[in-house]
Amino acid sequence: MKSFVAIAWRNLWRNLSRSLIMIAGIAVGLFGLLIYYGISNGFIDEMVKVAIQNELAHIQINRLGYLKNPVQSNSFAAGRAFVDSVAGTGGVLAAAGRFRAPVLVNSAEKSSRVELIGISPEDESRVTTVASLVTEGEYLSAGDTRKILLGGELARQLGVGIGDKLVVMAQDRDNELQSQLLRVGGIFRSNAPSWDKVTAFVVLGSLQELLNRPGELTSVLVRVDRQEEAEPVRNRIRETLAAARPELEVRTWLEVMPMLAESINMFNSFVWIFYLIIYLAMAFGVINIMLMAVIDRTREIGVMRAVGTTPGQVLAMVLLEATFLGLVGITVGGTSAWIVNGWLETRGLDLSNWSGAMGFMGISSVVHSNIETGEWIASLVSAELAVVAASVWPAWRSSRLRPVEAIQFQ
Amino acid sequence: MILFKLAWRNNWRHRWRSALTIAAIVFGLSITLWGFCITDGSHEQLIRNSVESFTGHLQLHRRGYQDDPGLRKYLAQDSLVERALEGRRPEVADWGSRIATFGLASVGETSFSAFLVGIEPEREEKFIHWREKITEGEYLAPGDIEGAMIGADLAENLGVGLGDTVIVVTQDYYGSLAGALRVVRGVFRSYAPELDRSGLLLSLQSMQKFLGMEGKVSTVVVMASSGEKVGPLREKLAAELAEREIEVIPWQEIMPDLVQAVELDNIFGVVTNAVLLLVIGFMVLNTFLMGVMERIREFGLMRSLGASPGRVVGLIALEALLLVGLGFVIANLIGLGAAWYNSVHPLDFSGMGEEVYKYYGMDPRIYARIDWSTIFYPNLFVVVVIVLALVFPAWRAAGITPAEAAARRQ
Amino acid sequence: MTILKLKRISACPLLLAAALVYTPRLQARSPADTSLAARIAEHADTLMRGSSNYGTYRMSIIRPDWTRSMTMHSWERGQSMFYLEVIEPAREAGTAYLKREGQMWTWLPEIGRTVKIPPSMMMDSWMGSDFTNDDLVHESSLSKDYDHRLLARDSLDGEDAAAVELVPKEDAPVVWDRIVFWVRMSDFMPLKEEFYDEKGRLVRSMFFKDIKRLDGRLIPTRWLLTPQLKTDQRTEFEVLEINFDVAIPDRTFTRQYLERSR
Repeated sequence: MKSFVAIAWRNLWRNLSRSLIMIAGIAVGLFGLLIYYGISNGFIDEMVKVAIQNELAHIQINRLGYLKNPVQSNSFAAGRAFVDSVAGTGGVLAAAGRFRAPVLVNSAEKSSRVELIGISPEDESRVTTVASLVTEGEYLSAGDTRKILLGGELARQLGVGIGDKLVVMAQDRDNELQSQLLRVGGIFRSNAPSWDKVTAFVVLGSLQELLNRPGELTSVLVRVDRQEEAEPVRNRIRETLAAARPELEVRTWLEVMPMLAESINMFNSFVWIFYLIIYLAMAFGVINIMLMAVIDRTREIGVMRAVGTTPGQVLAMVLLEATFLGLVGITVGGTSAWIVNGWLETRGLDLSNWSGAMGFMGISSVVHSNIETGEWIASLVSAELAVVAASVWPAWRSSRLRPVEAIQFQ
Repeated sequence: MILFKLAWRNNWRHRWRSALTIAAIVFGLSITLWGFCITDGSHEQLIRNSVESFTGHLQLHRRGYQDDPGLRKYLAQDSLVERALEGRRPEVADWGSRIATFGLASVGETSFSAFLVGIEPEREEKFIHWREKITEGEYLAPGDIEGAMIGADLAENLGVGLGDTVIVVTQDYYGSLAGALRVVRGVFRSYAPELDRSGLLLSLQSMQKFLGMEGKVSTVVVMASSGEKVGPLREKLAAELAEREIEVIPWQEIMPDLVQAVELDNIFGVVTNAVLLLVIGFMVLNTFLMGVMERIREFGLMRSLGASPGRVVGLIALEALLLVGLGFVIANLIGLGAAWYNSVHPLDFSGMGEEVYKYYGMDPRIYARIDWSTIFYPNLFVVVVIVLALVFPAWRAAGITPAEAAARRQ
Repeated sequence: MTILKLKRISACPLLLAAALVYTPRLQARSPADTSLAARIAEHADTLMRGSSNYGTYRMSIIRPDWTRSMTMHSWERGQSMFYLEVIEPAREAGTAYLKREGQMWTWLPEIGRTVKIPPSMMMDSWMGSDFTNDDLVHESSLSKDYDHRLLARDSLDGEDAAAVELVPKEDAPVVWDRIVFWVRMSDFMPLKEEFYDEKGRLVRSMFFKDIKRLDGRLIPTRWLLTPQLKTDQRTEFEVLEINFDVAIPDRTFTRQYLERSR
């Protein structure tokens, strides 16, 4: 048996150019697939990042009708106790209440329309990643009722820096105009400048005060321990709230943004299709090359059979040969993909020439590739399987050769 | 002639190898062709959708309006522009004048920001799909001073329907606040979010009266007879109108994000198909190489009979041509045939990503588009790959000497 | 609605303009300063005290290529309420504005309806001038929101003048970093007001000219507002006529009055 393995291995190198060509074909194909996979994942990651970490959480609680019409009047009464009880639900990592309203923010130079989000800074830092996006100044803390945290693009447009004054104007619950002075406490930068331009955060209390809506929230965001658990946790929360708060609805992030889910599906579908096509192309090559390898050795196989090698053993030998070829090709392709992908993961693919298109999709211009370990393994293994599968027919054909004819083959 | 026959028969000495090679070329090239046609079709639909939804192919403004719009940058409704456009028929298909500005739409105590557009209904409906987007009520009649068409989301937010009155407020030509009462004649859904959420369409006359801009317009929207004519038309018009301080802006400048998105998509398409064709290219290389290697004695014999290296190369080139040529023909037939089928029967993507298409205002049914560029470039690329695959084998074949051939036992 | 890009003035301009509205709190920095600055402040204060007034004004909007003028009547009570009606030119005639309780409504004659100015329109230009809607609406409770100190004594336009610096207090919803207010030493008549942002840039200036005695009071009768970044444009106000301490019926400052049939 061991000798078969040795023979198969040596057979590889008997026709060097043929083997090299097949290795190259497999390597190029796999390289292309992996890089594409990584970049595609990168796109998905960016979209999910922007959505989930800045705007959504795993689960969201709103008043019925708010998602369709996100106006102030669709807020709901909820205090500390409410948020804490949601946070205490099984499977929940943390919960944070928010109030969100469109306001006008004025500096000495300019004014801008902004979505102002009132947060409980500590809760928020456990649910979303806003706190980690702060690049200048400081994140808010509970007592900072006169501070505002601005997006970098917004700060630039308004011409303000840390410590500068801003006046916020909005219509309160009675439709009356109210203003409030705030000072820039910090500036954040997400990877979506278009979002930075229209978003700012203040302490929940100050926004509630401005709008004359004490104790009211527009949403409670929930982060779960494990992303896969989102639905069961949502169900648990729903049950708890059903009786006491029928006017509220609980949704997972996929339900809140079906478009995001679909976009992700589309990206993934294209990856699968690409894999399929390339594997088929590789299969053509493998069949062809293995077939020729077998035909070239017809006489030799005939001799082997005559000497007592079983058809099964011939089959195995050819399969082994293909397996080895596949392994070499995949190693070459996989290694080069590993190197390039590693570079793309850290440095990212700079698509800023197409920043308009990226903004169109709501993501930043630099896409960082990302391939999970499981995905690496799946790709390498499936590629190898594809090569071996393609070689089955030539191997089978070779095993069917009749020794007498084979020996006489010219 | 004999040469052809000889070459042809040589190919079929190894039926499987030739068949598989042809099959591989057919597979790769037809997928590439079909894919390009589908992608191209989807891009064209996307562009046409945007162009025919609002922007038109070209827009004429007072110089400086595109960068910094203002009612004071107007075009006089004199015959200058009309004559220039008339003179360029048939490349100019249609045009219409507009005034557009931002304002407020209010009903009772509720008000929302509105994007006010005054159009010439009878002219615009020839090239902008306003009429098809109407979900309730009717299209504006020319000369209708009191009527307005409203975006579906704006109508919902204001709580208005057909026959209801909306107060429209904006700064007029003189900078004073001007108001007007308009009656909702129709509701539209264009799938362009800004239009649906804030669009309010009036007749041009209505807008002019309202803003104090009789005899003045902001924009003339022009539709060319076809997409390709836009560039040259723009140049000619720009030259003609330059001295009158009129700028001619093509849709690409109005929607640069769209242009980038198409570009980016094309790049991804080219890269993925290139990988596919390269993988197949390796297989073709192998076929050619084997074709040479196994006939070294034969070629040696030819050489010893007086054939020049050129002759030998010529022979294998001819064989390659015939082999690959067959592949090309079949590939084009299949690929373009499928594309032609899909140009009449669209590919329905609604299962995968309906929300996404709706968001971008596109029909999820994609029609393929066959164009010289979608035919030429894929074929060209494959030709290049084939030629490259021939280089080494040809070089090898040219180097065969009779001595070498004789030394070979095979 | 940002066809004309405007800057904010947090002063309550228009009628007897910013200077007179800013009745600074008596919180001086040093005893010597206190007396002078305090007296200046007090004088400005008294100029407005008990003021219900009725006046006729002409506003001219001056731009590089064109100029527009409007004549208007206004009724004002203190700083928190006013009612204004444009009488000339014919195109604008009948347009009226009502301010009360920190909100502003406008009557648009061409449609016979009132529109409340929402926050999104606050920073838009008022009637095409260099003032914004917010300038008119801004609550004059600002008088409580400033610290003041004497800055300098100098000669301005050939007259002995003093400059008082006004700094908004902690929570005052005002974007300015400081305002420098120049008055005439002889009678504390306002001469100039300068608005600075936090970067120390002069963003706008208001000039007070043609000091005359009208209805027994000495006041500047012409005010010029110049945005500093566009020196070729300005807005000018002329007081044509004014009557102080007139009795104005309460109903003048109501929505019903604004919407009355004409």
